[in-house]
Amino acid sequence: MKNIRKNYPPGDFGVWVIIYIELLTFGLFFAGYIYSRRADVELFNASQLLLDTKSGFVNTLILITSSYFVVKAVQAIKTMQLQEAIEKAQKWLLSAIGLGGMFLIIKMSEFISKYQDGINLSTNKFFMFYFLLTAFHFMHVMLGMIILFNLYNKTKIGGYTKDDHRGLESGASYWHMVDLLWIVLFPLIYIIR
Amino acid sequence: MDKFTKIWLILVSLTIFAFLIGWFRVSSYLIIGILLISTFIKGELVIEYFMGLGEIKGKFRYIPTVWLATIISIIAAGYYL
Repeated sequence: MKNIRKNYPPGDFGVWVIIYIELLTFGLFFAGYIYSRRADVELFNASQLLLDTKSGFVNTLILITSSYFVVKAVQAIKTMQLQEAIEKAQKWLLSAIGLGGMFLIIKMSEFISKYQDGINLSTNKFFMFYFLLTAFHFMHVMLGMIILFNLYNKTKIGGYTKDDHRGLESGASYWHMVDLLWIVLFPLIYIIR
Repeated sequence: MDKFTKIWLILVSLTIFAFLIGWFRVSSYLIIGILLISTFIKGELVIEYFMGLGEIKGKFRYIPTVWLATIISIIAAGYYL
């Protein structure tokens, strides 16, 4: 049984199919951004200066930390005695959900600020990509939070144990993918010019 | 300090490095190259340790790594060529 698990990623295989498809989809968006940027580098660089780098930075720290909290929750279930594991994992998951909420609030305030400045999808190609990529990612964060909330509820009733935590690993893997995508998005959209 | 806390601290440090490049609006070829390498390292740390793929044998481990390497290469090509 152990050998079989070592040949496959943690969690249900189905979630990995979803993760691979999501990576491919975002990869095409990233390539489209780079291709369009090459056609008008000056426009992209000038538009990028209108973004709030601090928000992007804080949101990166938030997602990285949230991902770390989810790792700690999985580790608690895998290594601690049941009652202690449930208590610890609940706290880590709730903290991760809270950070996810903070990410959404900061991103939403960034969107609102841009709209108030008269900047939207049709302003230029850079902002079309900015809104499409970050809004698409925003939706993934929302879905990830729903998944984390379900993991939290199941953890609370002792639904995961040392021997049976595949569902927890599946949800955790999805949340790490959301983090991985933002790790590429942050320098691509906010920094590289 | 456990392994995952160390990984988290490295991720935070590399993020601060990226932010400083953006904040000071540095755009030399060398610095952007270092930024792209640090982004690859960050992604790999998430893939290998947070996602747990470092403990997996075979192709399933390498799909996200190949994806990340391809994306970073495309970004580098778009920037340098």
